[in-house]
Amino acid sequence: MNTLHWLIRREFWEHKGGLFWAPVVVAALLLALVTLSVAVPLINGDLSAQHLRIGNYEFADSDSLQEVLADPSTREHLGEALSLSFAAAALPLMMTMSFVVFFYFIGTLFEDRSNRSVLFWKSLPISDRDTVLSKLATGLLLAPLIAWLAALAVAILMNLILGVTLLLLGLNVFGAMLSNPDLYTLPLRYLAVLPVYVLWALPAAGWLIMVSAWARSKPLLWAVGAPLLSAMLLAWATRLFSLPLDAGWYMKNIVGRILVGIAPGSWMVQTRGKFQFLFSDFNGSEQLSSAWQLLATPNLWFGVAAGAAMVVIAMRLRRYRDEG
Amino acid sequence: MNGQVAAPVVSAKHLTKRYGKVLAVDDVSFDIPQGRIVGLIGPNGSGKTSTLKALLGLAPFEGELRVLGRDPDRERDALMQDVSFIADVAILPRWLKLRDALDFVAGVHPRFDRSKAEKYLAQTKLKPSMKVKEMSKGMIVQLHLALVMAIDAKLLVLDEPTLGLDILFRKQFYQNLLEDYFDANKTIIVTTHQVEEIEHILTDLMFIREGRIVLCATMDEVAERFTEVMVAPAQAEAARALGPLDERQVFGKAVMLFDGAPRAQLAEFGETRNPGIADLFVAVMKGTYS
Repeated sequence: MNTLHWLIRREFWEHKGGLFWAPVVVAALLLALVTLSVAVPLINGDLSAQHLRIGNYEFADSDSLQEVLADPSTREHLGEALSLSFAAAALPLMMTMSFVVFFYFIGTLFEDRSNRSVLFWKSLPISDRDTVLSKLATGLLLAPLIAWLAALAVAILMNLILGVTLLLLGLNVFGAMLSNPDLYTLPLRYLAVLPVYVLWALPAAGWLIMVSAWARSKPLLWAVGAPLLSAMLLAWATRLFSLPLDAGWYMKNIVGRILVGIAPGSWMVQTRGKFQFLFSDFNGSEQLSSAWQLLATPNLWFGVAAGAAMVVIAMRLRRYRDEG
Repeated sequence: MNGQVAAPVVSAKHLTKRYGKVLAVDDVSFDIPQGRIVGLIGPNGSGKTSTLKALLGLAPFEGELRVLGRDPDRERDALMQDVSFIADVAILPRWLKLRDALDFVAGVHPRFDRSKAEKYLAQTKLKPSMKVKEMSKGMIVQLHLALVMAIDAKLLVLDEPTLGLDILFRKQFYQNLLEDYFDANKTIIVTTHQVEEIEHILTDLMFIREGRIVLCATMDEVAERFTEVMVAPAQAEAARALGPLDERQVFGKAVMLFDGAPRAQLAEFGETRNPGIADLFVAVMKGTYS
C-alpha cells in the first residue's frame, strides 16, 4: 500500500504538467473569461441584459437590463442558474482531463523504456503489478479527482464574481443561490459517478496501457491506428464479400469504446447516441443518476472483463521488456 | 564464518539463454559465495549481460538458477528486497528531482538508509532542488551511486557501471565501492571493459566467451596458475616448448604467458611475474572475433 502511494506520487511528479498545471491553466482561463465577459462591460458601462444569460436562464431579446433586473423572477432564475455552475465548469476541465489521460496512458509504459530509466525503477523492490496499478490509479482516479477539485474551485470563484457583479447592479442573488440544494449536491453527484466512470473507462485504459507496454516504437500510432484500420478492413470486407458481420457494431462497441472511453460521460454516446449529457441539460441530474444503471448492462461488464485482461497482459509485458 | 559454509549467493546450473536460434549463454554452471567481488569479463556479445539479466529476473532463461536461495524468474519481487543493480549509469529519468528521488527510494525500499545517501550527496555539488536534466553526466552518476550505496543489499550487480565516465569518476567510483559499501556480508558482481581498473578490488574472476565460462577462479588461484615471463631471445625456443598461452614482443624480448607451468622452472628463462588481467584476458580470448 505504501509502495503504491509512492508510485502514484512518482506519476504525479513526472506528469505534473498534465495532471496539475493543465487543469490549473484551464481553470484560470475560464475565470479570466468569466471576469472579462462581465467586468469589461461593467467598467465600460455598456453591460446589457445579454450578459446575464447564464446557464439556461432565458428572457426575451428585447428586454433591457433595467427590465430584467426589475423582474421579480430574475433573482430566482439567476440563483438557480448559478447553483448549476459546477456543470459548466466541469465540462472543459473534464475534456482537458480526457486528453491528458489518453496521452498519459499511451506513453506511460513506453517512455521509461525508450529513455532506459526503466532499469532504474526495476532495480528497486517494486512489482510490475504495482507499477501498472499505480498508473491505472493515476489516470482513472487521481486525474478525475483533480479535475473535479478544479471544477469546484472554478464554480465557487465564478459564482463569487458573477454574484458580486450582480450585487453592484443592485441585485443580490446570493440568498437564492445558497439556498438552492443543487449548489451542494451537483458536485457530489458528479463524484458519485466516478466508480461508474472507472469501470466504463477500464477497457480504454487497459488497451492504451497494454499498447504502451507492448510497442517498441510509436505507441500512439499502434493504439489509434490499429483499431481504426481494423474497422476499415472489416467494413471493406463485409461490403465486398457480403459477410454477415456488423462493422457498425464493431466500430461503436469496440473501436469507439477503446478510443473515446476515457472521456467522462462517453457512455451517453453508447446508450443514447448523442452527447446529451454535455450540451442539452446543464443540470444533468437525470444522466448522472442514470449512469449507475449502466452497471445493469452486460455491455459494461464485458468491457470491465476485457479491460482487466488487458491490464494483466500489460503487467506480463512489463516484466521482460526493458528496451526502447 | 562460525565455521559453517554459507549457501552460495548465486548458484547456476546449466544456465542457458537463447534469442531465437542464437545461443547467448550456453549451458553455464557456476557458484558465487558470499563476501566476494566477482569480475565477469568478456568481449562484446559474449553473454555477460544475458547472464546478469537472468540473475536479476529481467529475462526468462533455461536451466536452474538460484540467487540468495530464490528463483529470480518466479520470485523476483521478493528477491529485489535484497538485490540492487546499476545497469548503466546516467539513466535516471530527466524529470526526477534529487529531493524526490530520496523520498521515493526511502518510501519503497525498506533497506535504504537515507542519512547515508545524504552524507554522500553532501560531498558533491548536488542540491536537493536539482532535477536530473540539470545535472552533468558525472553528477547523475554521483546521485545514482548515493542512492545505490545507501541500500543495504546482499547482492549488488554492476553492468558496465562506469561507461562514458572520465577516469577521475571511475577511480572514485571503485574506491567508494570498496571502502564504504563492501563488507563480508555483501557480494558484488561487476562487468566492465576497463579491466585494469577493477583488478585490485576483485576477489574472483570469471571470463566468459561465446556464452561459456572459460575461466572461473579466485584471484589467488589466478596468481598461482598464470605466470608471465620475460624471455631472452636465446631461450625463446626452450620456453616455447612449454606451450605458452600467448606471446608478445616487448623491447626485443618475448613476453610469454603460461598456464599451470611451475614457476621455478619458468624462472630459469627470465624474470617472472603475475600477469595483469588485461593481458590474461587478451590471451584467453584470442581469436574471438576471427
